[in-house]
Amino acid sequence: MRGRFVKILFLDTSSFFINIAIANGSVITHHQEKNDNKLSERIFLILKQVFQNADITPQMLDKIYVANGPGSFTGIRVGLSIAKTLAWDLKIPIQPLSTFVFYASSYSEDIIISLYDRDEKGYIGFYNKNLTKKEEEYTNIGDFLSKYQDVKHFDIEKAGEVEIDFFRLIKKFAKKEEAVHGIKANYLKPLSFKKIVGDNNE
Amino acid sequence: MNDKYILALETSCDETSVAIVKNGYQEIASVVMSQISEHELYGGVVPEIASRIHEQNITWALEKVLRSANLKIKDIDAIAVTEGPGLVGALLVGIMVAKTLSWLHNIPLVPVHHIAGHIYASNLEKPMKFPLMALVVSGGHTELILMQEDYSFEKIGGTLDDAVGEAYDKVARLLELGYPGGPYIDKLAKEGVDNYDLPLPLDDNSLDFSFSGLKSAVINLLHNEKQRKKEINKADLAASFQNRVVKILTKKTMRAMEKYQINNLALVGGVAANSTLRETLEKQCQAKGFHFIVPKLIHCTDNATMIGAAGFFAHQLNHRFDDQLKAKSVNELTKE
Repeated sequence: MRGRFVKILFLDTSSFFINIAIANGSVITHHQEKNDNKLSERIFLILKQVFQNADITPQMLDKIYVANGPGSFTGIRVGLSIAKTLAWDLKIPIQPLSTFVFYASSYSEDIIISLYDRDEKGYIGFYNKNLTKKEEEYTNIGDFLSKYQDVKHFDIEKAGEVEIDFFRLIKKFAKKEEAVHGIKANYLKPLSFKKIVGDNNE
Repeated sequence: MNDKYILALETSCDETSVAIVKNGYQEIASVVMSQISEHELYGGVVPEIASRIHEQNITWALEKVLRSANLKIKDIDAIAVTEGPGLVGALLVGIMVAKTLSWLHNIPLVPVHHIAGHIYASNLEKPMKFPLMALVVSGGHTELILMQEDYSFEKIGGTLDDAVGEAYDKVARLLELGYPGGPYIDKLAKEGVDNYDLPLPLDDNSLDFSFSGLKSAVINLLHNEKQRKKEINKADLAASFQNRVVKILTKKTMRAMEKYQINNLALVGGVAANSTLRETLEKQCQAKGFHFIVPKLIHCTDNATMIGAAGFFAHQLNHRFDDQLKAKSVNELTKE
């Protein structure tokens, strides 16, 4: 990689906002927009646009970071399917990152990040100032926050108000990579089942 | 003609499958990773679980197929992917992976209807002859499709309620057999005799099917026998159920052949693996001098090879995915 800038793709389609960023040496091209239920229809249009804006092709990538959850099940899978295929095909390293880490990178202090799911419940990520995970769980967000009233809190719905520090992520996770076929989503929320009732008259 | 290689992906339900097909009829390599053991516990496919497993397995399946074919993506002429119908979350995984590869290598991406795939599994067996009648029977479909030529589909009959495979699964569950129900009932039916009084479902002049009444009849029968404290002979009930199913499928298929004056029949879909159905239709076709195709068992159940076989023709006809096309859950094969 000597003699040229390292090119890194960040892909996060897991929650309320889509984050696609390309780091090319010291230049970051970051696109953020509100996620909607049209993600799978639009994601390639957005991806192509970001590559065009960054003036590189996917073949020039050196590494990929992908958000593997928690968040929308479908959103996570869209991101993972694309990122894993890219990394596998291009034979480049890939590292999954928690959705929370993207936003935790904006803070140089302990931070609790929340992502509401339904009712009062949602996903919580508690990270220390070194971007190290203290806790991640699916729980009642209000209850969790009341336990840590002195810790700063950030809600991912307000993602537009913070700037993700991609360089910090690159530095922190520079030596991390995982085998592509083994990469899994971190859904965090347990699957719950209703009894499968196939027939009303059963 | 240059050889054409199609890389095909199929993730519409509970099989993660990738294959490479040459010229539309030759399977070069194939991987089918079944999830049956994961869904067995629930007596049916759980969509969220299916999607998760596809996502975990798909790149590995791709690598395995390319390795065993000793090919690289750049040797591929087109990528075919199941666009639907199926479980939306499950389809999405295959579509996203296929789109990524198509983008990276600038290879045409061809959407394939799942049923077109099942029908074209016939071509892997022996060349399809037209005009052709296809009886498509699976866990999600029971349809009579008329094809005047390659890749032209006209639905002339279908189920009004349950698909035939669904009826098998439900009856198997009532009899406390395993999942999927087809193979268990087929096996058990061979040990029994058809002596339970079950109705022949939707025995009318139409080309449509209905299986929910037959399933209800089984439920009622089980209930009544229980009330009378009579032991059910499961093998006999399996035989009685299966005979009704095979009889009505055969009857309406033959009627459709006669009505449209067709001499070529293809029996396709997961339920085409049913030995009694295969034998019965084959005998009837022999008696009438009809040309009959039924795919190998491994090409009856969901697989990517069939998607590659159909994708070959879809590619020739210039069917293409655009960037925005998404997974289709309920789309009609005939409404292109």
